[in-house]
Order: sequence, then C-alpha cells, then structure tokens
Amino acid sequence: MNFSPLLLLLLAPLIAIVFILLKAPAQMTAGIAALFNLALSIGLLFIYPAAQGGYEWEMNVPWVNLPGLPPINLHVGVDGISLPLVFLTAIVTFAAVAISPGFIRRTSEYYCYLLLMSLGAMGAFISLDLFFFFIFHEFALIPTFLLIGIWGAQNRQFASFQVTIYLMAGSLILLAGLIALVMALPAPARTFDIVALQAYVTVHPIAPAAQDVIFFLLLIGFGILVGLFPFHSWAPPGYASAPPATAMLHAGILKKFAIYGMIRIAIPMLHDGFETCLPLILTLLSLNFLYAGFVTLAQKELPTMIGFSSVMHMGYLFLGIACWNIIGVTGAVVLMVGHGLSAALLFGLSGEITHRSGENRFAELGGLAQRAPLLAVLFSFASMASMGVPGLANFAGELMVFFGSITAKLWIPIMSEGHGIPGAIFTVIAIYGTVLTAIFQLRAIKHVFYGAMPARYDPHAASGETLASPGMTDVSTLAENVPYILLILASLIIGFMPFLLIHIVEPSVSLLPFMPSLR
Amino acid sequence: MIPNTYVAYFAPEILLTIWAMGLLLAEAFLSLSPRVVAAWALGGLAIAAIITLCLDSTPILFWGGVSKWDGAAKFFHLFFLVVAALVIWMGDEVQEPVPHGGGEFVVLPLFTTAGLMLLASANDFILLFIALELVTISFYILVAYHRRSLVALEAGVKYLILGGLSSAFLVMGVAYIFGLTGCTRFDLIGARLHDQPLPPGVAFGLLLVITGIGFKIAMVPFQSWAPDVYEGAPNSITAFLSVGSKAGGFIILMRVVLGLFNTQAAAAIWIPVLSVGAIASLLLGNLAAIPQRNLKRMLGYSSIGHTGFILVAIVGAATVLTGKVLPFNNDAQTGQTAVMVYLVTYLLATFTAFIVLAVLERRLPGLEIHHLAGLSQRSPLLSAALALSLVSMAGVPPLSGFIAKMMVILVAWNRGLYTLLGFTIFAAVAALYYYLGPIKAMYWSEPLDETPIRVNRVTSAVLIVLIFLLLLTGFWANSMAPLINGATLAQSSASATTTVALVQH
Repeated sequence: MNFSPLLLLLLAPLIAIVFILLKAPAQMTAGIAALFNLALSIGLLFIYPAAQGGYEWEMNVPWVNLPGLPPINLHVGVDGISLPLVFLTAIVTFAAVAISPGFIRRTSEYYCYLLLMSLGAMGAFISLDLFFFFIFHEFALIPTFLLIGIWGAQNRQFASFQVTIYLMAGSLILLAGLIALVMALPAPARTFDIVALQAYVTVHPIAPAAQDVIFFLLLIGFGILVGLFPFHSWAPPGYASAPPATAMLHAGILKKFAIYGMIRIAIPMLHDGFETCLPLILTLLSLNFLYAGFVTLAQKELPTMIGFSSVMHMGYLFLGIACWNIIGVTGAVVLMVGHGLSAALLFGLSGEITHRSGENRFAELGGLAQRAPLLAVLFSFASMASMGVPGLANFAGELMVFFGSITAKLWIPIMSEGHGIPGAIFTVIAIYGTVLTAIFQLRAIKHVFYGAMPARYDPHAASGETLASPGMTDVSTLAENVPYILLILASLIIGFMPFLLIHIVEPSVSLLPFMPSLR
Repeated sequence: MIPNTYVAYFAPEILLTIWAMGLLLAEAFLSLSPRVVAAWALGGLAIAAIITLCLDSTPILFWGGVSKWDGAAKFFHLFFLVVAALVIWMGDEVQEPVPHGGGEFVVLPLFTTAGLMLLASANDFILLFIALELVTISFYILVAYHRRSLVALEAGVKYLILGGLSSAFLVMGVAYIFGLTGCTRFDLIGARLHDQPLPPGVAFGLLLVITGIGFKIAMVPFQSWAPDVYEGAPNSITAFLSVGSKAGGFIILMRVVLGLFNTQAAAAIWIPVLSVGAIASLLLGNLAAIPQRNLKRMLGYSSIGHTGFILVAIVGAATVLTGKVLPFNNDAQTGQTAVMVYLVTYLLATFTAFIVLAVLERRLPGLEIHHLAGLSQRSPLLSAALALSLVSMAGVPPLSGFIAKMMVILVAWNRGLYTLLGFTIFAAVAALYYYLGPIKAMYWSEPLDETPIRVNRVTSAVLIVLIFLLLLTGFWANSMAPLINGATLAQSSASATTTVALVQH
C-alpha cells in the first residue's frame, strides 16, 4: 500500500481543525491549511503527466466488506478532469478563509465548519469510489446548515432549512440512483469502485431499459444538487442568506460536484440512458438560460441576483456535457474552473458591498465608486469574468462549449420522419445567455457604483443627520485585497493561456467512454 | 433429556437470572447501597458477555428443540448485554440517584435482559411467550418506577394495558397455530406447513402473532403507546424500551416470518401486511414527529419511523417474494445484514441521545426543544453528542446511521421493492427536518442562562466513546464486521430433515 499525496489534501484541513479546537488562532490556522493545499494542488497540476490522461497518485485499499454489501474500497486518484477541480477547491477555500472577518463571533466554530465544507468537496473530487464520492459531498451538508443558520444574513432560518432539506432530498435520490447502478450488475461483479465499475460496464453494458431509469434518477439527484431548472429554487435565497464565504464555497465548488458526477459516472456508465434523456436535458438547460436568466434581470437585490445568475450559468456546464464531444466536455471542465472563480469573486465582493454599505437593494445603493474605487474595480473584473469577456477564464470555457454544441449536431426529435429541433438553437440560446449576463451584470455595476450616491454614504455631506452607517469604506488593506486579486489573477492566467489548463484536461476527456474521436 | 454440553448455550440466561435474584436478596439483607448493586450487576453482565463470546455460532438446536443457537442468536445476545450495561450504568450514574433500598431499579434490567436473550434463541412459541412475559413484566415496574409522578404513572398504566393486550393477541395467535398444526416448535410447524397451502386458521394465527409483535416494535397501527410511555418513563428505561425491547421484537419477527413462515403461501400474507405496516410507520412516525416540542416525545415518534425503516429491510430479507419480479439477484443475506446494521447504529445513536437527555433533565427546567437554547455555549460536549446522534438517526454521512439507511435502500433495490423505496426516501427527507430542530436550538439560539453545564468524568468518557463509535461505524463500516459476520438466522423450516438430525444429535 503506497501513500498517496492526495490524502494530504484531506489531512491538512483535519489537522487544522484539531489545532483550532485546541485553541490555536482560528483564521491563521485555517489559512495555513488552505495555503498548504493550494501550494500542493498547484504543484500537482505541474507534475501531473498530462499526456497520458490517466489516473495518477492512485491508492486503493479494501475498506468495507460486509456480508451482502458490495465491496467498498478506499480508492483515491485524480486525472485531468478532477485535478483542475482540486485546484479550484484549494484556491476558493483559501479565498473564503482569507475574506472571512477575523472578529466574527464564535470564531473557532466558524472556521471549523468552513474547513469541513472544503474537506467534503476535496474528498469528493479525489475519490474513485462511489461510496466515498457520495459521503464526502454529504460531509458539507450539516456545516452548511450551521454556517447559514448561525452566521447568515436576513431570512437565515428559512434559508438554512430549505437548503439543507432540498439538498438532502437530492442526495438521497442520487444515492438511490448510485445504488441502483451498482445493483444492476450481477452479484459477483458488484462494486462501489468507480474504475472497476466503469471497466465492467464498458464490456457488459446494463440493459437499456434499466439504464433509462437509473440515468433519470441520477439526473434528478445531480440536477437538484446543481440547481438545474426546475430544481433551482433553493439556491438563490440560500446563497443570499449565507455568509459570503459559505456562498463562495458552495456556489464555487460544491455545486460542481454534480457536473463532475455527470461526467465521471452518469454519462459514461449509462450512455443509452443519457441518449434517451438528452432531449429532456437540453430542454431543462435552455430553461436554465431563459427562465433563470430573465428572473435574474428582475432581481432587486444584489445577493439574490448573483444567486440566480449562478443558477443560470449552470446551463453552460450542462450544455457542455450534453454535447459529449472532446471540445464540449473540455470546455465544461475549463468553465467549471472559470465559473468557480467568478462565482467566488462575485459572492465575496457582494458580501463586501453589503457588509460595508449595510444595504443590498439596488434602489438604495449608488455612486459607491466615489467612496470605494478599489471595490468597484474588483467587482467590475468579477462581472466581466462572469459575462465571459475574452481574457478571463469563463470566455475560454464558454467558447469551447459553443463550438462543442455546434459540432455535436444535437437534435431533438419531435415527431418521426426527421422532424425536430436542430441543436444549433441551443447554441444560440447559450450565446443569448451571455447577452443576458452582460445586461444584469452591467446594471448591477451601474446601480451599485455609479449614479447619485445616497447622502448617508458621504460622511461630509451628511452633517446633522443621523448616519445609518458611518460612510462607506473601501477594501483598503493588502490582506483584504489579496484573496480577490488572487482569484482574478487565476482567471486571467487561464483566460489568456487556456492551453495551460486544456492540455491537462483534454487527454483525460478523450479517454472517456463513448467520446467521439477528433483525431 | 438435556445433554450436559448444551447448558453452555443457556449459561448466560441462567447466570443472569440467578445473579439478579442473588443481588435482590443481598440488597435486602445486607443493605447494600444501589451503587454497589449496580457495580455487581455490571459484573454479572460482563461474565455473561464473556460466556457468550466463547460460544461459536454453529447452528444447533438444544433443550429438546425449544431453543436454537445460531449467528443471529449470538449477535442479539451480545446486543442485549451491551444495551443492559448502558441502561444499568445510566440508571446508576447519570440519572437522579437511586434511593437507598431502591436497588431493584438496577437489578430488574438483568431479568429483562435474560428474557430478551431467551427470546433471541427461542425456537418454540411457549418459550417465546415465557421470555416475552419476563421482559414485559419487568418493564411494567421499570416504566412506572417514579411512582409519585403523574406522567410516570400514566406511562406505566398505558404500557401495562397495551402490553397485556399485545400478549393476549400473541397467545391467541399461538393457540390458533398450535390448534391447526399440533405443535409449538418453529421447525416442526415449518415442516408441517412446508409445500402446502396455508390453512386459513394458521394465516389468522400468523396475523395475530404479527399484531402482538407489532406492539413490541411500535409498528403502526400498534404504536399509540410509544410517545406517552417514552415521555413518562425514566430516561434509561426509555432507551431500554426503544432499543432493547424493539430489537427483541425484531428478532422474534425475523424468527417467525423469515424462519417459520418462509413459504410462498405464508409470504403472500405477511409481506403485504408488513409492507403496509412499514409504509404507515415511516409516514406516521416521521410526520408526527415534526410538530413535537418535547424531545422525548419526538424521539418516541422517530422510533416509530425507525421501525418502518427496519421493516423495509425485513421484507427485503424474505427469500420468497411473491408476485414480484426480481430484477436483480436473490440473496437474503443483504436483508438480514441490513437489520443488524440498522440495530447497531440505532443503539449507538439512541443511547447517545438519551444519556445527554438524562444529564440535561436534571439541569434544565424541562426537555422541550426551546430549553436547549444555546446549549452549545453551555456544554460543547453535550450539544455535540446530541447533535451527532440526531444527525446519525437522520442518516447523514459520515455517521453510522447513514450506513444503515444505505443498506435499507440497497435491500429495497435488490429486491425490487420500489414502492417501499420511494416511501423510505420520502421519510428520510422528512425526518431531517425535525432532527434539525434541536440542532438549531442548541447552536443558533442565544442561551437564556449562561452557566456552563458540567458533566462528570465517566459520563464524558462514555459520551466520547459513543461519539467515536458513531463516526467509526459510519466511516469504516467494517468495524461492525466482527459482530455482523455470520450473524444470520439458521434456516430450518425449508430443510426439516436436517432439523430432525440436529435434534437427535
């Protein structure tokens, strides 16, 4: 049994939690663990032998063997698809810890829960066993509940219960689907090991009728977790109420678990089911663009708007994997990283704005660029990243998804004899989505940073009045800026040099089963 | 004729009964303090556990065939011994001190345990009934132990009347079965009924027996006693009822439906009955728990819900499933493993919760959910223990309750029980809602009273061990393997010849 360096990624937060419980300074300890993980994950990105595209740093230990239960292995390993997500987890965790206020009440608990959330996401991405893949994601459920409940903003009570119960329902449907997948195999072949399962299913595919049912369950389960229309209603109010760091971790990383699961498990192992459900997926994802897009336009509060926009952007990821060709899926993986960075930025900055101005309604905000120019610059960068402006990571991903969806020749049959909707329409809808994003992001910038500034944010003008808040402060110190600059920098590097990421992702994507070859 | 060698299989029960009678006498004549009595009682349990561990789990019939030893019997013997040890320890250490001369509170659980262990290896309806009465009668006393409290008296009366009623149902059912088959031994009845249409009288008897057992496991519609009795009984006894008595009910249910009535014709009756019972228990238990404000009542309803989950596993353990297309393979092992795993995880979570409640009962004005406000600041250990046990009961990984829920879902898929599966998932989601309520109170609400609650060393240590086990069994389910492996019912009804051979042996 060789020791995999990937386990260090899990050990670091655990050790940090132990130290925090032993009364070490909480933010510092959590920050050190996050920084260690960030450094390690960047190191792994560099030394990963990208050309082969296989699993690296594997470790496989028999774990559970009970009578009547298919064997469960502690199997970890990463390939070009999961490694970028490991990096994303590390960088967003670091940013989330760094932007958290150091003087928050019940400090040590707060940082322990943040680390547990990040640990859950990290564990899910490095697991190659369905059992661990599932339970690591579920790790985050209760910490998320407590984080929203204890440190959340308005309406936290309702939001925390709604998010937790919605996600639990999604997880249990997902669990039923995963178990159905394992149990669909004949008894001796059953295993929870993803690699072994994939190898078996490639040779002996599951009966198509069973595939349809199981894929549908997985689609609903993953769909709830990612906020696919119409299962998105937990996300915007949840993110609006959550403390910024929690929203960053959840929207930035944990949601990607579902897309990752679709790429790693649902589509390769149940390809017939995928093809049956494809029209449904395409319909739902275009509703993600259109419905969630227009709902976003109508939002009157900054955090809810960002919550809805992050729901809408899941449409691109679903479109990318729905094409199931190399360029589309690679684009989806790049976009997962890009969206993770931009969502983390937006949630973090919207938290700064709300916290510093004491206000989150567009109608009451305005002109803040005068008082907080740096914040305005950072927020504009984040908005541009989210809009998919060239030079930032989202652009690279979105462009590949558009190309992928055009080349995939998707087709929704409506009646027999070749009538149907050509798939290009979904590319058009997706491109229209970027227009919608531009509208609501630019409007947000305008409402928050430009226009007339309400007098209460100006300590000089407001003489004589009682101040609602003592003016408006900017992100001034280096410590306040660094996390955001780091995220923007990562987005810029991937945006300008997408090949850095693509050459890691693409070989692994081309190894996925049923992937049409480009070469 | 009783061959000498087989006494070993009965030794734990005999030992506990003699030990308990000796302790009662010693307490009366030597005026021992309850602490000392409790220590001796724990010692007796330890010896019984050592004897049980020394026995191997090869299936064997003994004492003229009225009793049967197999893997399941061994598992349940150990299970009940652990339960009893926790109950006696709680009664002595955690709860209000037992008054001098009240040592029967820590001695009576020994009788109950002996009864439960007899149940676990019963192979005859007469022995089953005697064992069950030993359990129930000692519970009548224990439930109403605080006889000056009105709630306790109400609980005692309810339990007495409904307990009597359930025994009556059971005896009536046994009478029907005996009347039509001419025997009371499980294996002989099984052999009589083997590949024959089920006589209507026996079917009626089976339904009555299931009704009698239904009271013990708090299956809907025989659940009405549970919340009231849970609320009124002392905490240790509530935990005992909730884990010990329920597990006792499940082992007889398994012996009766999976052992003796494991035929096509009988399964056509008990599978629908238990399926409906499972669905009703899942729905009523988990939905009725939502509006509860008293923690013990809430746990009472949740325990009805857990009965539903375990019943799904029992239905899935049937080797004959009638009228169902089996899409996947056909192993009964998974169902039985699921029952045992579920009971182990349920034991850990329930005792963790009730130990915390027993500590809190003496420090807080009451056990309503709002009394828990801000507990996490007053005692991190107690709030963490209660939160983890509730989350485990809700089936959230990586706690041990998740493994149990996962096994139940797995069994339901394996046997194509799609309706039950749907209700299981619905119930599990609904359950999360009320389990989160106390967690919210403990972690978000501001404390009304900031004084820290101190927990003595032994209690802290036990709670830490239980928390550790909750996490360990969840994350590494193999830690349960020594208990679970081989813990299956020995099938006898289908192969009557081997049974006869065993008897003659």
